[in-house]
Amino acid sequence: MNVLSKIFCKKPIRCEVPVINIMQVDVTFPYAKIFDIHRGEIVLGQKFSLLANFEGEKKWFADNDKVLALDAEGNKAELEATGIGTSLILIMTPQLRVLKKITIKVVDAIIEPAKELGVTADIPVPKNEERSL
Amino acid sequence: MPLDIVSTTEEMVHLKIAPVTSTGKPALLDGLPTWAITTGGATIVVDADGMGAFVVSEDIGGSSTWSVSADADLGAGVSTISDGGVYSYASPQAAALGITADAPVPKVA
Repeated sequence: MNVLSKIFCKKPIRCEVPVINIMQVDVTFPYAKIFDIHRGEIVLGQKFSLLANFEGEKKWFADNDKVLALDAEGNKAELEATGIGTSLILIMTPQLRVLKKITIKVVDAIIEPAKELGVTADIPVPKNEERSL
Repeated sequence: MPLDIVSTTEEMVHLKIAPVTSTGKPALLDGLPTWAITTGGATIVVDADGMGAFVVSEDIGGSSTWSVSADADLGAGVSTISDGGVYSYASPQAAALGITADAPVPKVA
């Protein structure tokens, strides 16, 4: 049973909620636009918007209101990261057919990974010298 | 970037790491780095905090290859970054002639 079945199915054993990820959803920040996302991390307090390029009536759903504030209309949703945690955003047809699933994790800070180890060497010392470190 | 080092066979060299991001800012590692001698007879003695190590030359001249690797992914995944180089060591040059004098002896008649 997947997470969608837990949310939408009264009898999850017989119920499968299909996910069709046919829709492209782009995310827009004041300083950047990123295309076709399905998963992301954002710092607490940041605002962003999602734009779906799929015609037709649709419903937006986020499963964790403490983490993301969602204000959606038509193809566009405005969001704000309001709490630490993970929220699953679903974009669905009026018949609850899931068109797109996006997972957003709200974090304290984005930690950039190390790219280089930055190795340096001291000047050689005699082998019998006491190792200072 | 490979870091080749040179010493005499009477010496050792301390290496240390200071991980940085792609923009040169200090960065964290997931766990301790792994130091190793991959070829040759030099030995390696890792610092207690793992962020440095002494590479110790053999008593005869030669060369060894050293390496250090670490996990840059702070989450559940693994993203290994590594570095290394060649450690060359040769017998030291004479620093003094070591002259001594025996006791005087009679000239040959």
